[in-house]
Amino acid sequence: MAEPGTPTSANGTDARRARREGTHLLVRAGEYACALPLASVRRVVRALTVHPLPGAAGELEGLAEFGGEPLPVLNLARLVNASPGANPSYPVTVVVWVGPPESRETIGFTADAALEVVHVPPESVVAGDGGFLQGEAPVGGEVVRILNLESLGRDL
Amino acid sequence: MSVPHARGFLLLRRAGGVWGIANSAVDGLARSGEGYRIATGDGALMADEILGVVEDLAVRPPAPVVRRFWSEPSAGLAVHGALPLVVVDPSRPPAALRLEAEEGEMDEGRD
Amino acid sequence: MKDGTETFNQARMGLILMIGIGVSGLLLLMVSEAGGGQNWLFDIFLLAVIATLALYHKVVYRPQQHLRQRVEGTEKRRGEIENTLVQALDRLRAGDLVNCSDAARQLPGTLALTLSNATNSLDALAQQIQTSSIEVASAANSVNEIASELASGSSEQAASVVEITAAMEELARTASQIAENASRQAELAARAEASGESGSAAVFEAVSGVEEVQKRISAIASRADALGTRSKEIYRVLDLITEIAQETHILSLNAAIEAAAAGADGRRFSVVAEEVRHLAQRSQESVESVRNLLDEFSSSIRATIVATEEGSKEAGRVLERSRAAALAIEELRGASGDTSRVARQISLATQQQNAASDEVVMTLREVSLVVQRMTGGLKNLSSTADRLNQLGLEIQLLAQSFHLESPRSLKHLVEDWAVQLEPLQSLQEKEAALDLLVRAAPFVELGYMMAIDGGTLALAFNKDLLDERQRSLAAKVRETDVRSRPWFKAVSRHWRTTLIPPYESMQNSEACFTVCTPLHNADGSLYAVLGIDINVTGWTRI
Repeated sequence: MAEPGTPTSANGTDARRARREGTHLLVRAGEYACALPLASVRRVVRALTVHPLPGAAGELEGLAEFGGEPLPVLNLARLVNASPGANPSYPVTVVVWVGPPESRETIGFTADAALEVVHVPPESVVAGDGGFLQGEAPVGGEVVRILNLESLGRDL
Repeated sequence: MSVPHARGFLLLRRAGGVWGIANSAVDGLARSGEGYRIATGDGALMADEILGVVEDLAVRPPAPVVRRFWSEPSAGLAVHGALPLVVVDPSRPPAALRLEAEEGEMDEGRD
Repeated sequence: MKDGTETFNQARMGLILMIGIGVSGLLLLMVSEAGGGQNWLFDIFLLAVIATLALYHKVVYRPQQHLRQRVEGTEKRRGEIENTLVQALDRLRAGDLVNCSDAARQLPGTLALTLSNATNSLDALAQQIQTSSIEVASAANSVNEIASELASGSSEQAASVVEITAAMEELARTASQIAENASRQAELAARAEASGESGSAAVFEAVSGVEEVQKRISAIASRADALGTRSKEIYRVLDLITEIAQETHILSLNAAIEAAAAGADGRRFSVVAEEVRHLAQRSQESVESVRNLLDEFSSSIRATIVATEEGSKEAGRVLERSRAAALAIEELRGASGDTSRVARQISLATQQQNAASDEVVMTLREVSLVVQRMTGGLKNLSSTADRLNQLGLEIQLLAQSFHLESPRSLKHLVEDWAVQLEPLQSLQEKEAALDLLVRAAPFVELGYMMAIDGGTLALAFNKDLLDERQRSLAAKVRETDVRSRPWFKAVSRHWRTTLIPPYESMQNSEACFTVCTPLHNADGSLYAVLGIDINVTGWTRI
């Protein structure tokens, strides 16, 4: 869904540059540390109030309001099949763009915590399934799951 | 898919979710037990709580991600105040709103 | 007497007349001499004298002669009466009222009647004396029995008094011990009371101390609560800071995101964002440190609060127990006071009881003395009764010394037996008759006829009064010359019915008295003595 604030061409070049540089936002999802491409991250906010959608799959927690717009919110831990971790002290909702650049949509991921912005050298990434899980890489002594948000939109 | 702005929506809560239905589709509203029965041209819907009526809603088509994880038919998504809601297609209401829906049916698709 | 009086009066009249004539003659003579030869007066005087003499002969001389004759007759009669009276009185002196009455019949009417009345009165008196003596003896026996019973009862009473006295003395000793124990108990109770007071004071101080401790614990708990409240406030502040740090962290991330989106222009901004993130991280770390410290502090506070609560509870329990102990001590003190008071009362009461017991013992001793004196008195009474019985016997013997016209007169009985035995010819008849007579007289122990030469002619025993052994002893009299026996000696003095005072009998060596009378042949000659023995213990059967 197109919306105001969609990155412009200049921003898209920089975003491609950031993506190429391997800058990711490291978040905690259950027992896993997941790296979200920083270029796809729009905002990190405190966990939003999510209103369930009756009949939805487990990954879809529901709808939240963000910027006056309905925001679908997915459970990142379920998406990456992570076991539940410790109770999050400061859960967050990471607002990201998913899908190909030409048809991005804004969704939210619930995460247990937003950690830091890290640089993951592409060469350190061990390729994953090629879909949502782009691969894994060691970051700060921990194996981090590198996620491909574009594929999430493409997989529809 | 574009959805023209519908004027006048009835907002209701059902099975934990917030729903909106065009007033034009509502034929009647009545108490039914603990909840409400909404008569439409295509049948009747159930509500746990009537939240109110709004004049206008900016309805957005449901995102593909939503369609991927939620297969219920809808007319779109909207926000009223800080409240996100699903705009109901009266001809194809979701299972949760249908008159014969039970709690078990409403939880279909959820873990 | 009448004649004598008349004779005397006549003599007196004659004398007066003679004196009168003499005086008249003298006067006439004097008058004649004085008157010078008036002789007719003297003639008259002579006629008067002659008349007087005639009258004197008729009135005085002849009656005097009669009187003299009569006096001589009376003298003779008087002598006869006197002899008869002497005989009768002699009989009376001998106590033979029967023969005295017989002799009295020979006396003139009035004298006979008077003597007969006197004899009868004496007879009645003697019989009354006999009866009264028996009654006295019976009364004495009754008194003796009663005295014996009373003496027995007194002895038992004395024994009971001795037992009671012993028991009371034992009781007194026990009471004395109880008094001592009660006195000691009172002292102990007083000490306990004093101890209770000091204990109560100590417990009161302890309670006060515990209350003070409880107050301080409460104060500590309050301060701990205050600290806990401040800790909570600090936690809230820490939470706020944490939230701020987390928001700052999020902000820094968003800044980094925007910086990345800004490309090269956002590099410095990304540095700032990184610094901000580090700041947020340090804040978070500091908050964590403070939180850890605060957790420790809160844990200590909680421990302190728990400890103070437990201490407060324990202090409360101790306070309760202390108050309960104080209450118990107070009650105990009260009980000790009551006990002490009661012990003092008991001690006083036992002392009084002890004194009362002593008085009772003294009284019982006095009672014992009284009983002993009463027993002695009863013994004296018994002795007096015995003496009275003895006096009764003596009086009876005195009464029996009279020969009365009464079947209870032993002399009369014996003489009557003699009258019945004397006509019998053979000794066997006499002995058989004597045996019948003895059986008919339940108070006669032994009847016998002894020849005046001392031999035994007949013997009759009262089998109800003499057992076989005593009869065999009595039979030995046949081998004895009875002339040496006191009764034989007494009767042989005057050979008339005689009562011999008590002496020792041959048959049972007990005291007996005898009544015996001489027996005469048909020609009036004396040939034997009839006697009966009566035991002094059975004389009341007479």
